[in-house]
Amino acid sequence: MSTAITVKNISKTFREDDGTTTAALRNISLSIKTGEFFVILGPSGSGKSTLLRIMSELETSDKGSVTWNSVHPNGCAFVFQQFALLPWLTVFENVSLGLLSMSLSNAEITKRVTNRLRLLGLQKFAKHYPRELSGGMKQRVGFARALVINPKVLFLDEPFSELDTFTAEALRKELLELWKKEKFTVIMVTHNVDEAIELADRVTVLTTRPGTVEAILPIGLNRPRSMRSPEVFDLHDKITNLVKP
Amino acid sequence: MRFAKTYKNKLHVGITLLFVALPFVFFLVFSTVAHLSFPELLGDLVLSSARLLLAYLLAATIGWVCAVLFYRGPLATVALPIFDVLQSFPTFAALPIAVLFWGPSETTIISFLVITIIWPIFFSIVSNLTMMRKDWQEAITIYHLRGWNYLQYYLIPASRAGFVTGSIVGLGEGWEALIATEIIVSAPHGLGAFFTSVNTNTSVTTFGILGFLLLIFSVNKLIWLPLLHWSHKHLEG
Repeated sequence: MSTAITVKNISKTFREDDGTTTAALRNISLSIKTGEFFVILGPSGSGKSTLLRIMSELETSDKGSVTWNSVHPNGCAFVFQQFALLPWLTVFENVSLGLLSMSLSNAEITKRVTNRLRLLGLQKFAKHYPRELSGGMKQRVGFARALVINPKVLFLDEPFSELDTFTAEALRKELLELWKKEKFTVIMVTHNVDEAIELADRVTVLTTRPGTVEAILPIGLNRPRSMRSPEVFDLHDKITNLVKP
Repeated sequence: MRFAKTYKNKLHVGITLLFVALPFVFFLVFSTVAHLSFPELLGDLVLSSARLLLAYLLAATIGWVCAVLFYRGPLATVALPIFDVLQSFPTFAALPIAVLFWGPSETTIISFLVITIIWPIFFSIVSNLTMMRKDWQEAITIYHLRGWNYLQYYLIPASRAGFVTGSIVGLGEGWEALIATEIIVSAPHGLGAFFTSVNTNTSVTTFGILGFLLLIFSVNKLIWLPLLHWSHKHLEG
């Protein structure tokens, strides 16, 4: 399996308004394989979202480098924790955002957006505004907007943390199905150990601030994973011990 | 556009028409009772409104362009403090300079109105844009929205609420500055000229001000308040 993204010795320090500095990340090195479901796990303040933002080029690092090996950064999409849907646009318009820079015809945009809305069960909500949707539906729109561009790499920043248990579970299943079918690389940030075990091929655990790589664990379980199996319980204990500050 | 739905109710349409007619009916009755020429009074009102409208269009355009250029980035750290000092400069102090350059002309009145109206619009849009959620801007970045698409799908709708709020405040200040300027530069026509001509008659002046306030109230009720409601509604996530 080829490498999609290589992260080498990334460090990041934030400067506060009062002049103090906070080290968020120190010497992070990772290698993410093409088509892999990679999860970054860590306690609050471990810099996992900052790392994701640096990898997706939304933020710059102070030191180190991110190398996109087999894909261009333009081929990436991002799903945000709080959905980040533009409130003045309808569901259809929000989903079409990623296609506007691609020089596609209106007919092609309509076709691709309609198809993606149908796959995520949103076709009836195309003309709705985000304020008219539940949290779960908003995140479905977030996924539709990300997947409509057929990304090579999908960045997920705690995409299920704002949703109720049942909605999150259903959406995780749908995401796994789409990932298996469309074979994009997923890099997801979460603080939820169960979520990491259920979805990941590999999990990297970050330490508390400044975030460093504590361990990288392969999850060698077949999918779909039963979250009540002894192997999962063992993994859960192992990861929880690593995550504990 | 959902704004059109604001007036779909029949009763609402009736009330709207009443608000449109009310100031004109008032001025008709007022001019008859006060033995004034209604066409002349209407002419003064239209001329003053036209001056204000022209000044507003100029101020709104310049104010919006400056706000979107300077609201963030390295330019903002230099430009915003300068604009802050400029807006605190008392505009009436600039009037003699304007008269010196252009005399008591339309240019003087319009330019004076522009510098009065522009600041609330500019600062309201700047404040509106700087308060946009960070993840909205990140979504725009990650999906490479640029050029006309960036304007159409982000910058224009994101600045709408600030633009409307700034316009309401700017026009409120603009009306006040308009009448004062027309009086100071002794403009031969316009509401300033009307109030100058009747200033010895307290009752006529009082009812004239009342009619003028009624007109402003109607314009706010019919245009600006629905726009304000509409623009803020579209910022609800």
